[in-house]
Amino acid sequence: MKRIITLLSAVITAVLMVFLPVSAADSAGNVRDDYGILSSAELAKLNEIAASVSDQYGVGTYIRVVNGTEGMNIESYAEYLYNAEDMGLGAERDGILLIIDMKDHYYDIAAYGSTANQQFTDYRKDQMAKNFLEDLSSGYYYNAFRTFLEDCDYYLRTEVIIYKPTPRTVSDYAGFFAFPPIAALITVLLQRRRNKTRGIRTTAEAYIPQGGVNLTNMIDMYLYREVHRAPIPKVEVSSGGGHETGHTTINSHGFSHHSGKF
Amino acid sequence: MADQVNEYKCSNCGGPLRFDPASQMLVCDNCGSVYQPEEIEALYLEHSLAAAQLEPSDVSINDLQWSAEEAEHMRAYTCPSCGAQIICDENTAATSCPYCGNPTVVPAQFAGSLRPDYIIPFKYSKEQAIAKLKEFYKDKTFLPSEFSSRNHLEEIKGVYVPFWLFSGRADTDLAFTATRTHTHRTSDEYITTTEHYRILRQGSVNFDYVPADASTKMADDFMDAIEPYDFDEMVPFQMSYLPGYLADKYDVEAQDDEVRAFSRMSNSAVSTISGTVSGYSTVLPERQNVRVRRKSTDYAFLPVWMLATRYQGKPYLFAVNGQTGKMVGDDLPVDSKKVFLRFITITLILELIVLAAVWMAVHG
Repeated sequence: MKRIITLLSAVITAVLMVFLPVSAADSAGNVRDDYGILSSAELAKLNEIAASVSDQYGVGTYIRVVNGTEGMNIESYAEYLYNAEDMGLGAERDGILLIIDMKDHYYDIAAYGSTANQQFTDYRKDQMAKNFLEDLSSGYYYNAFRTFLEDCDYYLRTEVIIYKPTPRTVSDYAGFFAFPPIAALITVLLQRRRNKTRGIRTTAEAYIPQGGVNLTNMIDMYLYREVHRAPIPKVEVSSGGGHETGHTTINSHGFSHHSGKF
Repeated sequence: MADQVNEYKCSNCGGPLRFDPASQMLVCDNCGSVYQPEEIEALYLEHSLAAAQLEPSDVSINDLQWSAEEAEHMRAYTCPSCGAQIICDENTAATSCPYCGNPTVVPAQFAGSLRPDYIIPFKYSKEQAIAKLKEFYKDKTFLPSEFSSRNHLEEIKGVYVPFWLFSGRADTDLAFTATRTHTHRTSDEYITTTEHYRILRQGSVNFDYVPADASTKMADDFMDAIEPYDFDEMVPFQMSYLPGYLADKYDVEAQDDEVRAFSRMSNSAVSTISGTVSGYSTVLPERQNVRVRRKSTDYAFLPVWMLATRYQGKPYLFAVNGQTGKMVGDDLPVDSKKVFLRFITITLILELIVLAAVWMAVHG
């Protein structure tokens, strides 16, 4: 009986292992600090938030603080880490990883999986980076990471507004059909005007003889100057290369990135 | 009242002479003889003096059945060719006998101060004037077809219209306020600089022979519209230019026309002198003082081909500059059907173009 119970437990455990996609990263924690910039309380809190966001939306949310990238650029290292630690949730391993290299002061936000790439567009990743960069550069790491996780929560629950130009129909151009009768009316009126030739003359330029104009005084007197200054309206420029139009640039490995220095 | 008229006759065959615009000579249509106007003028000077001795016409204008008021403005002449009585307006200076068709001139209308100083002889022939009228009609899309077909173009008449020619000088004193504006941009603002100026211009503009018609029969807007005339071709007046044409002496005094002519000079002087103000963004007139001084006033006959016609009870008048061929006319009647058809045609064509463009935008 004992052997049967042990065997049954092993089968149940095996089935659970197969059907409940608990990743290695989950066991390693959503937030990991290899550089020691976070206190254990901060780390615990951040892990709690990250786990909550991950569970709620089915998109793994990760932060890794590393000391160097083993000779790779930050984006390649992010991809390496994401795969090596088997990050992501669900069949498509959806997830988002913020990696901070404290050695060279680079950061990268890497998204993977169709849901993650759909929700974390280029524009959104750019906005997320803007939101945490000031704290990150100032050494307020906890604040920076918390902001990142809160943004993850926000953007995962906010539907991406995808601008799709609606196909134009003939009715969109209805206004153009008003022009022909107006143009025809103008043409007809102009042609009618050609029937009028009479008119009193009010000038006599034709009768000024050669050399008939004698200018005796010609003064152009400067009086004063006025200066008017008008500010140029500021135009918002997105540095991310994408707008809230649903565009995400995905590379051949299935990742989308936003990286930079801090 | 002058009862004597001159008929310029060919000294070869006795046929009537007429002035030919093409050759600028007097020609006899009977035998083909041609004469210099000066030659005939000299010949008829003697004749004219002799004719002045003739007995007045024994038929008084009051003997005819005209009212006293009408009779006051009518004159009766005896045609030297057929002896018929020619009744015409008191201002008629040249006409043709309605009975024998011979061109006649009334020398008394050119006596003393009534004699024009100058004349521009007809350069445009009757045939050319008719061709001009036909061309004028052809160009008018909405002209009713029956209008041009019912016109008796051959009835076009050559008329020497009396004009006063005013020469003068317009002394002009103008002041303007002006601005010059330029804008440049820095990294964060547009800077617009406006410089304010006061402009002064003084000068004089001379005018030679500004014409104003001196006949109440001629509408001012007609005679103004057929301008300009080339006064370089103007010659001293000779009656021998008149045969074959109609002519009236002036019935508008020079001082009555002077206001209009001086106003034209004043306007042109202002626009000419103002034209020297340039390079500014805005120019506003502040002061305009113009004083026109008269240099001379001349009396001249200028050539006009005229056609009077009627359509649906309304009179229409057309005039062709007898020197340049410039054409003017009353506002022509409009065929509403033609206007509507043209409107519909243009609309349909443009709608088709728009439809094709829209189809290409939607499906292309």
